[in-house]
Amino acid sequence: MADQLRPEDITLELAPQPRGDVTTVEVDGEAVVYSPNTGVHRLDTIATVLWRCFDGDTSLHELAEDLVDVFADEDPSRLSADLLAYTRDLGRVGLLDAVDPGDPNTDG
Amino acid sequence: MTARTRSADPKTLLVPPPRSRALRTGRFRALGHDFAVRTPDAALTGYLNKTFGALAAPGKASGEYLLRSVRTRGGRRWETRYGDERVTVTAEPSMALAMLLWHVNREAVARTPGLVRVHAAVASLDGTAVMLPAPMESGKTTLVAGLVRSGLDYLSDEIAALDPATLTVRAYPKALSVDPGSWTALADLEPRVDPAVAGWLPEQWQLPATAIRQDAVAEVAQPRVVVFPRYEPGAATQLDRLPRAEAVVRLVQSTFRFEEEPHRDLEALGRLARDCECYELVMSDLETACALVLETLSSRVRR
Repeated sequence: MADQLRPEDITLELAPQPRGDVTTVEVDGEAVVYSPNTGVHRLDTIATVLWRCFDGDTSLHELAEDLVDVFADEDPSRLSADLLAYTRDLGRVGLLDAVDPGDPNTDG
Repeated sequence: MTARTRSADPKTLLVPPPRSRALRTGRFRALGHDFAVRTPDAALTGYLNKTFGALAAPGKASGEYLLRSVRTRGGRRWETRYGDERVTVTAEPSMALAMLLWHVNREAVARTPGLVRVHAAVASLDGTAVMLPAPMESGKTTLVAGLVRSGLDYLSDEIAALDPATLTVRAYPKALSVDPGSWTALADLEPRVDPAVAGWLPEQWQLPATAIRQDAVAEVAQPRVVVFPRYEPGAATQLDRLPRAEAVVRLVQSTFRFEEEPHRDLEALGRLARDCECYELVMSDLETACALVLETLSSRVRR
């Protein structure tokens, strides 16, 4: 577990990937993800779009650039910050490979 | 004189088991659980034949429960066994029977691995079903009893057994287990019980659906509405739409042994939610709750 990231240590350089043992189904644009370790999670529509993009090859930085192309009116730094926040949230609930969610009962 | 046999438990001296064929019930099938019950009491055998009547099947059961009296150093006790498994030994015959009923449900889940088993009541209208998933004490048995009284067909008050390929629900039409808190709302359905078995009965009605309406039991149905009921005394009874993804989350949380086949079950529950309208029902008044569910289900049947 030594090379596991903490969610708060995720940066835009990370190419996130769902854990291999999670199962996902999409309904009305929202993903429902089951992890044997942390149970069932409902992702909102934005998190669901990101979830689909997490292939282990594409970095958050590259995803942020794509988002800037799509949402030309949005502040690029704001988009990057939101992307990072969503990814850290997914890491905290134990859905990302190589990210240790830590103890959910512990602050920080 | 026949010597008494001694069980594996040295503290327990067994009373010889009953020999009369009249003390063995017929064969029942609770989904994949195939059983009969041997009892020390002809009246109890009759009661169980009636209670499990909707599960009756021809032929010989592959498993057998035994309800019997045992003498221990602490006095007379009541034992429930399933084959070699001792389910319980208790001072109260009503607890022995309650544990048998509990065990039947447990085994129905355990012995039906090919189906997605949701903790839910199910009723149907013209083959179109409403599923009512909820934890214990949420009012699902009361609601399904009210719906059957209102004319719907009955599939279960405990397990919605979904075929993952077709998403049809296979009936598990056990007797409805009605707790005392619902006896007033369902007073007209109070079962008539032979006084000879009164001492065996837990403080819970076992109400065969056929006692509500002779033709009430359906074999299979296609769910088109999912309603998550929650009994809340004093609250306004209302039905609110639930996002389908939230319905999937709640269905997962209501599915027995989900962790055994998570991919299959999640995929099936996702398709189920896409096929259904999903609601949350807060209820304090049974009549209003039934009317709301009936109206919603009827609109799906008409489509």
